[in-house]
Amino acid sequence: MARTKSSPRLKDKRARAKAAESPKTDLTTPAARVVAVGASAGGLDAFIELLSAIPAGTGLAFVLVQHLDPRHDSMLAGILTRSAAIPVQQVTDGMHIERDHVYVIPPDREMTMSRGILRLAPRTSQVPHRPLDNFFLSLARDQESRAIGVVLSGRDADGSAGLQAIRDAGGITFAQDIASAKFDVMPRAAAGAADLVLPPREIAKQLVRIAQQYDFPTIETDVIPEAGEDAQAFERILQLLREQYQIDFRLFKQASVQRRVLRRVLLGGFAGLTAYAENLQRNPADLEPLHQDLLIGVTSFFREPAQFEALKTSVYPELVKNKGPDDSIRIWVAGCSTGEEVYSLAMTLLEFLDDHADAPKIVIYGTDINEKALEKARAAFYSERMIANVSPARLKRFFSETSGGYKLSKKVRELCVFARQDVTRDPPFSRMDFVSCCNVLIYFDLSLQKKAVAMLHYALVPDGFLMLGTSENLRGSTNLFREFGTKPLIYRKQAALGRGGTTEFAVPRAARPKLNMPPVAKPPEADAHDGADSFLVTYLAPCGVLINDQMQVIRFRGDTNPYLSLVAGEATLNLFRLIRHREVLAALRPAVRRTIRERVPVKSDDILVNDDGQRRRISFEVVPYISDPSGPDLYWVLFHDRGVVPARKSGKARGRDRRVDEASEVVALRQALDAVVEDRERLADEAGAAAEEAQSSDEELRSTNEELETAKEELQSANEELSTLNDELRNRNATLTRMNDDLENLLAAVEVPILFVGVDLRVRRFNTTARALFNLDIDAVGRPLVEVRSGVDVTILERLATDVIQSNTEADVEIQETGGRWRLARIRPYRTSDGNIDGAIIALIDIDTLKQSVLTAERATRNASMLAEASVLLASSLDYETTLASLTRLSTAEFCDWCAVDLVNDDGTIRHLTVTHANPVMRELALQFQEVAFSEPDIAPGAPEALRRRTSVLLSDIAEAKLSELRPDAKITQLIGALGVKSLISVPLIVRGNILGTTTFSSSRRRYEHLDLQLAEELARRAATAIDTALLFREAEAANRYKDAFLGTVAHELRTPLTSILGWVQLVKQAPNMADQALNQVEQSANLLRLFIEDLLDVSRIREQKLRMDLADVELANVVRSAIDIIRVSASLKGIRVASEIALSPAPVVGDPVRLLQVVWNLLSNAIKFTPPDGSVEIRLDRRENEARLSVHDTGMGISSKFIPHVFELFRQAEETEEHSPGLGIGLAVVSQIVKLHGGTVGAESPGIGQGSTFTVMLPLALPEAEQIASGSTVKSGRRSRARNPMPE
Amino acid sequence: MPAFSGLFPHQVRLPSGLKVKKMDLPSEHCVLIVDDDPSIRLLLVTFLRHKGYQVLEAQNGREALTAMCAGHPDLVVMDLVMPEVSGWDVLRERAADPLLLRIPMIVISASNTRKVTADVLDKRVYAVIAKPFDLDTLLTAVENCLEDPSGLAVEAA
Repeated sequence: MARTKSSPRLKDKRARAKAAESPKTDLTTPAARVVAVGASAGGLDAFIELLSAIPAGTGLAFVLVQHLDPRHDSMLAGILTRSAAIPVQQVTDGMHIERDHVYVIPPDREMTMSRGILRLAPRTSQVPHRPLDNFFLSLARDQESRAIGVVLSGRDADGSAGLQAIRDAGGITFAQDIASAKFDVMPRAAAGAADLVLPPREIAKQLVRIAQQYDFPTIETDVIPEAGEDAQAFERILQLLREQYQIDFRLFKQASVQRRVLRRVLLGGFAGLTAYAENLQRNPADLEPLHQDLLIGVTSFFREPAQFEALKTSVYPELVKNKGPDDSIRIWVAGCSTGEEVYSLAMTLLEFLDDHADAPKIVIYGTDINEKALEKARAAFYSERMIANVSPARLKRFFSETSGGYKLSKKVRELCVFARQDVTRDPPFSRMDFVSCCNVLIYFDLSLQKKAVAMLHYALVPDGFLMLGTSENLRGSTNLFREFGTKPLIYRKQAALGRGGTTEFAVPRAARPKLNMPPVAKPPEADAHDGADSFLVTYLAPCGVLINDQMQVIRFRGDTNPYLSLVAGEATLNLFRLIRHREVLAALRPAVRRTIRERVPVKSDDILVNDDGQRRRISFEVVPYISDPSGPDLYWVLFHDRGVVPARKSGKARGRDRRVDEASEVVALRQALDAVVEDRERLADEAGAAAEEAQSSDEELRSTNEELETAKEELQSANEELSTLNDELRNRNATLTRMNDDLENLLAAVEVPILFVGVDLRVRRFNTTARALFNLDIDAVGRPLVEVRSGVDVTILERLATDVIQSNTEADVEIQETGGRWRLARIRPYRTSDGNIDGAIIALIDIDTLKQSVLTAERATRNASMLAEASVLLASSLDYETTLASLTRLSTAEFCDWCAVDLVNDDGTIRHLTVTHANPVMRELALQFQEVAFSEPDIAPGAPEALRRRTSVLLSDIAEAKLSELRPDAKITQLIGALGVKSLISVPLIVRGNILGTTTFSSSRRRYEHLDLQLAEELARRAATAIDTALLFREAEAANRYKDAFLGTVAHELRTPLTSILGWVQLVKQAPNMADQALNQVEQSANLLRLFIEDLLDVSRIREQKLRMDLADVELANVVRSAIDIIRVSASLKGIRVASEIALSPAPVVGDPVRLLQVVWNLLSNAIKFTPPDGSVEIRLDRRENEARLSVHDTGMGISSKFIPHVFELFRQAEETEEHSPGLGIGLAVVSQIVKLHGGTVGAESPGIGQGSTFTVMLPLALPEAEQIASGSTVKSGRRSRARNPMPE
Repeated sequence: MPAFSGLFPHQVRLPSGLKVKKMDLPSEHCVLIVDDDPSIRLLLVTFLRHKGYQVLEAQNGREALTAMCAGHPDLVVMDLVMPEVSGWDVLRERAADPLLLRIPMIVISASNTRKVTADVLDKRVYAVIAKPFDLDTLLTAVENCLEDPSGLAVEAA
């Protein structure tokens, strides 16, 4: 390795020389290695533990930096003196650092180090105060790789940045093991920048070990000698790195490479470079830390804040100049490390473009050779320490806080593309507007820098910007760029020079796969060897070499040692360099040329050579060898040994021989010379001709070549860009695949059918539940939504989706599936991350249960209000015919197509009270339906069945009800069809156990369910109650009327005898001679009055159940006879015949004789009263079984059949016979009651009005038990007795 | 007491304006008493004869109509509620027959006279007298009626 190490090494030496210049330093003693130890809270213990383990004589100097109270003097130095084996002192300004000393920072001072001297300054007002970082940074600057930093216990993050700086400078760093630290915040923060994390005692051990290693000369000087064991080891290490990572660190600045290698030796505790190299060979994995060290990327966000502000004002305005929104700003950050600079540029550029309308697009390429760093850059995730330089405003705008750090926003991340690229080797990008290559060139040696700069130059557009690090410059390449600014260091591409850099652009073209690897002789293909071998066998197998037209030896054959030899200098396989004898070489050159030119074998004469005192003759021949027509031209050079020239016996002979030999040699040489001259002349001629030809074609080729070069470079650039993009795309693709998987799984897990549609309303995506719901198959994607065949009405969905997409709103609509299931269609716009609407998402949430509940509740409310309305209606009037008609109209409006109320008359016939149909035209059909239904009650659905079973009948679906009895030709079937009856409810009207009739509801649209039945029943109940109330009221009214009439009758009956009495009395006063007649009349009338009043009293008693009975055994025959005696006079007065047939044996009845007389008399006088003159009344008494039968028959006016049931009711009589016969009606009621009190019955018969009537009384006989048993004989005896005792009259 | 009998078909009408002369009757005026109650009938017959009127009697509507058609009575005093053919029937027959309408009518009733008065308003009844009645009141009504049959003196006592 003999490259450009001189400059850094010199610099190092200079630095050390300067340090040595200080007067106090012993020139023979190496300068101290400075160990900076920082701590804060809990640091004292750690200091003591560390220092107490440091023996004297290590040569290390310790500088302790501690957070101290600025208002008090520090006791630290005093305390530590007791524990340390070496002197401890508090620092004063300008103190020189010496070996084996401990220096302690004083309170309230800012301490730095410069050229080995400690400097103190008043504390700045900067908050927070960071003494550790301050000192560590100055130490890193001053001592570079010689610095050692230690961070111990503490409670803030001070020191971590400084530690990183020491490490970046090539120094060695330690942090306290968290477990051993009293306070772990500080060591935890510093751990990331520490090479080793250990407890203080272990740190001390490592320090001692490292101090010992400084004694190795190579490490002590920090420079690896150019030759020797260490140099070989170093070479081997670089070789290993080349093999492993394809990076040739020989091209990097050797000083820094060496420093970092040596640092690893120190850290690993290896005995020396050789040991380290051997270790690496055994464990290639150990190469990685070294590799990372070598590629160390010193970067951070807004590393030089001023620099980025300057870019905003100077460079960015130039970049956007002449760029429209369709153009893009292309930026390349070469050596981007972990991406901070790339993102910093992106952020500042975005900020800059905030003020620009129609801002161009931004593309920033970040490249590095360190894949690990690139991975971090791609992740765009940074810890809190890393974003320390980012302002809160930027943090808010461009970052999002996530666990453990901050992530760049997508907006920024998307602008940046990261790829592995070696700026010195791989084709560069092209047409860049701005290239940043900060702190990259410093790692390269000069030639590599030149190449890199040429690359960068190529990558830029004319006038493009190049930004370099503050400590860099363009050195020899200034002709390519002109300076634009110094802070930051910015150059612009010299537009006029165009492709001026091409001449220096050769390296990357030459060898992409293996850069500058030592040329290894690649043997030709195996079958070529076999062919060559067999060829040689036929050629008597001489020894020789196979060469190509470049004189490079490709293959050795046989023992060529006598003819060839290796020479000092650069290793080569050039045949002409290998030829041992210059005599042979002289002949060989023209021979080979000729063979190459003419493709003919050339054979030499014998050539005399002197070989180790032996004189030998050698000849050779050059034979063209074509193994493969398409392969390269190859030539065999074959050597022949012509034997040894025998040595002379004597000196004379030898002398003569020598002369002879010399003479022949001269001849040979002359011949050779002639040949050479001839050859040269001919060559000159040919060359002249060729030169002319070449010159002309050269011009041509040059231009062609130039063009091709350009094209090729562009292609390579394009290719590089493409492969970069490809990498980026692959990365994003992986992310996308992952996200897609997540999304798919999420969608599958959500059991709500979800459908994505595009702006064109075509299906874009759907989940499995949606597939089932919409009957979608795999290739449904892309199909228009309207074409989806589903139970859901997609036209509604389509319309809603259109609205949502166009108005960027949301829509929630309840829709019903064909099966009746309710779903909530929730439609949301599909918003892309940049806020555009790109379709809609349709989720169909199953709300059936909920909806059904709501519907049920709604229906219940409607039903309740309908019932309320019905109640009001029914209560509005006692005219139930009208109110029921209104009710049917009400329910027709709300509940059914038609509604009918049918009542049962007393005789069991049906009265179709009211029928209402929503369509009045159809009313007649509905009426027919009810009529037919009741006329065919066994087969007709609905009302007849409800009537029969006294329960409600619900036919939800007539078609389903399987009314098998219904013949298709039955009239009811036709009516069902004509009315479109689909669903039917019939409810009986039942009040107090009495069935009044039925109500029937029918619908052609609805399907009545249980709930509807409930409503119908409720309606029916109210209707029934209303009917019942109305009927009761009518009855009450009628009763009232009867009572009024009765009172009138009573008055009439009282007035009549009273009139007679008063009249006679008045008459007697005027005509006293008529007194007798008058008194008779008065007495008669008064008797009538008394009887009537007694009747009335009886009625009253009966009503109050206070009728007194004096029971005795009564012979009915006697009673009947007495009654006939009483009425005979009045009957004969009216001209009515009274006949009697008394056939009853002396069996008595138990009863009240007076009451029984009253019964008989009443019946008789009633008969007489209603029988016109010349009529007849027959009375008959006989025995039926165990009862006495008394019947009274008259030929009077008779009783209508309608009235018969009411004959015995109180007050009943008056209505029918008002004009003709007052004074009756009480009598029959009294009769009936008295008979009942005797345990008997009374009945009335009449064939009709004007045809007479018969009243029959049955009374139980008081029979001995024996006679009761033989009832048959009683009848006979009854007949006998009648035969024996015919009626006397 | 022999009831007035004889079958006069209702359709037989006397020529208008012809006054049937009651040759065999001592008084100028003949009053027909119609009541189903024998006691009241006897009372009225006795009373009016005592006062010098010729009196006919009928115990129901059918007999009354027969007598009226025969043209005997100058005035009818009639009860309403009677078996077979009632007083109401008589009033309806009379209203349909202009000849019968010429015979003035006094109604005596044991029913609610106010209601009766209202009911007979269009039947050209001279007076309605409630039972029980004062014989003098009845007599006054009979005299007034015979004196001026056209003056309606429907009255309830």
